[in-house]
Amino acid sequence: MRKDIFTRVLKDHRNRIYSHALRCLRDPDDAADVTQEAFLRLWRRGPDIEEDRLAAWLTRVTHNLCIDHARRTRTVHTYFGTPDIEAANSLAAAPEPESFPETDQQRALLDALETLPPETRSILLMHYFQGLKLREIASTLDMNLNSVKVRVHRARKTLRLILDDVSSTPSTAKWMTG
Amino acid sequence: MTGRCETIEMQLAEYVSDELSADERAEVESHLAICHPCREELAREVALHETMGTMVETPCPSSVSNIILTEVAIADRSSVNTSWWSRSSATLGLIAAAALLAMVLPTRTPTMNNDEFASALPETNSWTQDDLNKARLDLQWTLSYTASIIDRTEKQSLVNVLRHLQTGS
Repeated sequence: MRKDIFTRVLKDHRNRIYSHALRCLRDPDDAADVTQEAFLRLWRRGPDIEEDRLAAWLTRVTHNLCIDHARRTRTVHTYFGTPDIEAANSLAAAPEPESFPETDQQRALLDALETLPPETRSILLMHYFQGLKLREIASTLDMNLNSVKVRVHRARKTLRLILDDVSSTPSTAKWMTG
Repeated sequence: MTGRCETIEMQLAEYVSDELSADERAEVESHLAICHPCREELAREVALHETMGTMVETPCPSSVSNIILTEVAIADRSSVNTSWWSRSSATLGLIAAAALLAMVLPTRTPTMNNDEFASALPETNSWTQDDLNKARLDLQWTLSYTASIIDRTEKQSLVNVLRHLQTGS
């Protein structure tokens, strides 16, 4: 891949990729790792990918990396226990406010998303956060459209309680009557 | 809940994101008009759509882009540059880094004297270009990673990070 094309792709997609990983993994360091790895893979595989498929390719790689990361973290926590958050916080600088600019409702929903399998969490982020159509997600991930629909449907059922809270807000009520 | 409700509920995400054909849309709407549980499910779908759809993108930190571009530049250079100077500059880089580490970690330098340290290093004239490229990549990655740790912890230097870890202060 030519360097100028790579730099343009990096500039155009880095915020989208980083934001997806950050919302999926909820950790700026993990999101940074996933973003770096996704773009370095793109650099290595660049010549094999058609230019109009680059965005979808990056999305799929990010999805897979997030799943791997989430599984690895879960395995580490299962065998070695959860990290001492207080000790880690004493060393780390306070996260920049713009890292997590969500409202309380959005934060509560993201917390609830963590109870879902990482594949489903990432699919929901692609659809609702990135605005990809379900058929685009199916094609990007090489999945059957019906499987994507089933995952979204089941996730909504799982998130039912928190969504009932959110759906009673005036803005949603306005959408319903409009 | 009927089998019909299950079918309609499966289509609600596509209904809200406007992915259905006109016929499918009309079918969903006619069912919603007579089914209260499905309207409740629609409200949940809208809540999901609105809550996540209004989240803003978080800018990717410039340190992440810098590391990516640095690694790409190294990989790019190492694939074409095989001159004597590149080998020499890689060796000089390694020596400079070793000297830097020796200055940064004076109290941590092991008991090894200079001669022992030199003899512990592999013979530089037996290195292949591939060895040098790998060493250079390792070194660049280590320096980038160290810099990112210093940035994240705001400890200004590696010494302060190590001191913090050692004393827990």
